[in-house]
Amino acid sequence: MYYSGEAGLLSGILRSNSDQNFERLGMIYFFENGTAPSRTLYFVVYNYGARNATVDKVVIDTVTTSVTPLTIPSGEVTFLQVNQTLSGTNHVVSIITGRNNVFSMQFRTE
Amino acid sequence: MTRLKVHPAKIKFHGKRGITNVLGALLFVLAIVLITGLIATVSNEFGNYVRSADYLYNIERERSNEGLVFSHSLQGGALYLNLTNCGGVSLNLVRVMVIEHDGSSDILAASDGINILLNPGMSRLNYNASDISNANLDFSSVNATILFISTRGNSFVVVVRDGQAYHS
Repeated sequence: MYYSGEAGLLSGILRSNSDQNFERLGMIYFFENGTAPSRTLYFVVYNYGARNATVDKVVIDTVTTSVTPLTIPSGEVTFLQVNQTLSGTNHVVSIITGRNNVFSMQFRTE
Repeated sequence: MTRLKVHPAKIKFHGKRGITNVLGALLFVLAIVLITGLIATVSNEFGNYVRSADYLYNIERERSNEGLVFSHSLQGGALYLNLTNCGGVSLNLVRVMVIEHDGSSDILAASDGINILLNPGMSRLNYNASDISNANLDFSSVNATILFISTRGNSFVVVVRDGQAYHS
């Protein structure tokens, strides 16, 4: 499925790697809203690449959350909303895109 | 003069070989066309890949060379910022947003397309952070983070807490 729609395997590999290089997401900021236990996490994400990016999955520490595919147009800021309860203070979030890119950020909660 | 004698069977044989040559030539041309097309397609894709790798290298290098320092003046509740590009590349700030710290973190103000372009060493003086999106924020009573976002995905942060501003 990853190479679907391509004319050939070699062309597919080159084209998908090329698109991966053009896809860049910057994890700008994190904040949370609401009171425990129904706190919502917000990640500010900026697409500084040359391709629109689609967020498929969010991994916080070891928990994978499937999100409704969210397309971030090139040059746009988006607030990525995740409903998840966190324990502890130091965390790592990774965003997995439709092109199999992974962008990570460390953050701290109080 | 010597006369050449040609046997009829040989004439027949020569005719058959001619047809085979034509078919062979057609197949050869077809194969060449296919191979050339394949090489052209893969070369084109490889060229695109090399361009993307070059793009990635350049944008990440420029991104790591971006730098911005702030100085501020808090007059009553109004926060004025001086922004100086201390990096090695031109810096284009395209978004600014103010996020409240305390209790429920709310986005107090977010501005699209501020478009502040600073060449290395250049400054933008007296940027009124209280007036982002005409929010008229009073920073003597609001604890907030002010984020400036550049086109290369860097963010530059000013933190305002208890009437004091902290920044790089």
